[in-house]
Amino acid sequence: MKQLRHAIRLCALLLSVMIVLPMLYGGYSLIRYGTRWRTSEYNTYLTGMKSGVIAGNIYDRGGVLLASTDPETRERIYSGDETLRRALAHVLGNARGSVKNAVETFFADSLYGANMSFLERFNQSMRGELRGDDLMLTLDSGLSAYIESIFPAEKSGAVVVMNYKTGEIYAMNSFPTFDPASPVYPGVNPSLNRATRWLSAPGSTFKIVTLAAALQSMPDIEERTFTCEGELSFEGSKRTVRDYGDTSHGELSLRKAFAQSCNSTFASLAVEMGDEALRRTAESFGIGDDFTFRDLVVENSAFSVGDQPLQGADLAWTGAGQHQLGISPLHMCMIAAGIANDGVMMEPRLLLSATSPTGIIRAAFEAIPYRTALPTQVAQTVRSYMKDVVQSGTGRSARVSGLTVCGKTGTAEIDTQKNDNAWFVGFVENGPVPVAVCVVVADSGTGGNIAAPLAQRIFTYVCK
Amino acid sequence: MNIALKATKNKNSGRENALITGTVMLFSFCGFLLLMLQKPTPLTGVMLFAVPAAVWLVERLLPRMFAMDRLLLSLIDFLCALGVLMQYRFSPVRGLNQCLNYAAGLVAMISCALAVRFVRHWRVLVWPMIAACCGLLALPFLFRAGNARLGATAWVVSGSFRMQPSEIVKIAYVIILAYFLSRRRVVFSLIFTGVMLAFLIVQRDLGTAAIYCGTALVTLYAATSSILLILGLLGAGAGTVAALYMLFKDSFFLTVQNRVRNWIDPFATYNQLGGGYQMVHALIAMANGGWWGVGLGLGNANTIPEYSTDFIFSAVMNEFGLVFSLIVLLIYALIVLRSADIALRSTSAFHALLAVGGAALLSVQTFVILGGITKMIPMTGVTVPFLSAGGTSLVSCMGIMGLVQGVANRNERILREDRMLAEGGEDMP
Repeated sequence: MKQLRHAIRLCALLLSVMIVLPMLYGGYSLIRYGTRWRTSEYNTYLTGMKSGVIAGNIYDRGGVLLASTDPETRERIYSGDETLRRALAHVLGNARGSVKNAVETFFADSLYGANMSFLERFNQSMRGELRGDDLMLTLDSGLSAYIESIFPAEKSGAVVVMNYKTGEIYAMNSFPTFDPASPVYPGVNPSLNRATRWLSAPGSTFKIVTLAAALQSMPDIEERTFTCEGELSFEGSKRTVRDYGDTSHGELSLRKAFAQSCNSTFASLAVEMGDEALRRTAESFGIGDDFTFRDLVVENSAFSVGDQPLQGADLAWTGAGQHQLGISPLHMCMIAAGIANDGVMMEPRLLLSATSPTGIIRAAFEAIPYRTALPTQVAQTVRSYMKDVVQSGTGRSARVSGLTVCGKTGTAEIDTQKNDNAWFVGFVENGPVPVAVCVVVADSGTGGNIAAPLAQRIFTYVCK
Repeated sequence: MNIALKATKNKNSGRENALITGTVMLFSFCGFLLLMLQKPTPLTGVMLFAVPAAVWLVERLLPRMFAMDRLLLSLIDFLCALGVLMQYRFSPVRGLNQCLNYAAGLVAMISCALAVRFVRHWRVLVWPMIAACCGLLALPFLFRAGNARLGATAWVVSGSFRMQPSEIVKIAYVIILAYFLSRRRVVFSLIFTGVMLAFLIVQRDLGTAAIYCGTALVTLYAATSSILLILGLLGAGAGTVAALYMLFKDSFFLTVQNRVRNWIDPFATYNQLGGGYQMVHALIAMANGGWWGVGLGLGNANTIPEYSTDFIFSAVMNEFGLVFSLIVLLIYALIVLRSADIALRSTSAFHALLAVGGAALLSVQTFVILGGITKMIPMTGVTVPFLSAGGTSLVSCMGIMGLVQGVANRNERILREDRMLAEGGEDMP
């Protein structure tokens, strides 16, 4: 009987702990995913809530009114300027929720006053109407409209401009876009926000990660010279890694190889350091992480499909930014911003402040580090390599006189497309605004020819 | 645990029990008052007083007729009152039905308690009970046509009458398990459990199978104190499941694969038939509720298809919030601890195992369903003890608590006899 009692005590303890577990897990989920679930397009409760409340206004960082509500019809009114409406279509979305997890739906709690206290609600209903909070976003409407006007017509792609010290997003354009004021949406899936939810191979811009991995795992790498024969083949595989345009770069240092974006050098580096080293550095940049940012829903990036270590040609192509890599333009911008900010990646933020109709400040901006990707010294070395890309390498057309621009071009080959995806990521080192950009133009040409000039005009617009 | 026990043994414990009873009455009164303020109907007006009165009557009168553990009774009453309130909030008819089910549950509870108190020769009864268990579990096969409910064929339907035999069998199962384990017949109880599980798995009632499994493991451990045995059984179980999976990968286990898919990402399978629709709306209901809830009567958990039975707790989380839900779970945990306390005071192994088995069954069932609706484990359709609509579920849960009450009653009697003997002994010079 004594043994039995002992066992009963243990069982009772375990069982009562087990019973409580589901709610503790529920609390954890609520903190981690609550906003995402609540703002899901399937939530009918939110729709019901909207009918009784006048949604708050949305302003950009300069106080320009971007969206407001007609008090009579309760319809949302967007800016009078069509270019601006089209430029912000994906960031703002609309009250119908055409764009998933845009400001209009993701911040519905604030906009429709769901977080009002009982007293406030009572006070407001005494005055006759319930109003939600006004939001001020980090966006710069002038910049967004400018990007909309310079982006090649008929092309799809995305542009992200952010402050690398604070994580504030100044512009986030996705193409093709649509006009939220007109109900006709032309083009193929224009409601997809390509800045946050479009995963594709980043091409040579990924060499930033490969370079960072090599600098960390191979001590004497900077003294070595490499011989580029224009291609790199592997035993038992027909997939050879070729350089762009089938040129060979001959003998070159690591710095030169990065500036010229030499595929065979970086492919051989990836194979030499092995899957583990490259994957670890990629993970330290947040590739494979489950993003739960406060203001944005960003598709999780992938290093490869499955957890199997990559080998041979697969690993080589990954080192050059191809194979199964899937990274969103916003994430690529964060990676460049991390290099600019001495290895510390900042969480991308969209909300400057939320203010209640009675003037209570409900949320205020705060710069939050997302993760430390690299030691400061490594980040500084990568930065100097990126400076050479723009001064003497493939990114020359991103040069702006009077500013030190650092960057990396990318030309991603996509099997299903006729032309390549042009990429450019970069930042201004000494400008008046610490700004980082990512430009992607799909199905167009090389990063140096198509994307870098766009980045140059954006840098000029922001810093001059 | 033992401190609470001493307090109730104390003569002053009446006041404490009155406090708990009063709280339960106040809770149900306030709940119905809120509903009354939102939508005044005569029926709600009646319920406003009838439910607290019923709580008072049950907690005052029942222990006088039959000595029971009052704390356990109050805790169960609270859960039942919450259940009636939630059912009534969505559908007054179902709320009234739930009251009737509760009455039936009370009858089951008293019958089970009386059985534990007065039956001396379980040896005679156990074999017919085993036969009855197998017979009841075989019933759904006879009524097979047209009752494949949500992937499980565990229901017996006859006209408007519906019942789930596996719910009733639970009571007998706890008794049989306790009987054989108290006589150290481990192998036989394993075989019996295996037969029960086979029935349930063929009926695709995986949730109930998990409950039987968990109950068997806990009771086995309590009886044998052997971790090795439990680990061995877990290994053997995993092996069997793996073997079955290889055999029936494309037929039977499609249901399981589907459940696992809906568990990993319900949003991805939202639009598929049998996909994540229910889970998505359960999660949204939980997220809408947040920490403090949207308020009784103001939520919309009825977007979840099975909101009155399996997902009733999603409605609780939606309208009362997560903090309240955690407290409700603590009350379940208190029921388990109290049952264990009663088991500890028992003088016979059979009765101790009876109380432990009942507590184990209740807690495993709570875990399986609440873990399911919060996306902690894959969702399997079982009812929430005391809260879900449905007579069989309430009758079986109250019946199992009746077993525990019977053990409590027996403990009380033996204590009293001992005391009388002791007092008698002192009188002797």
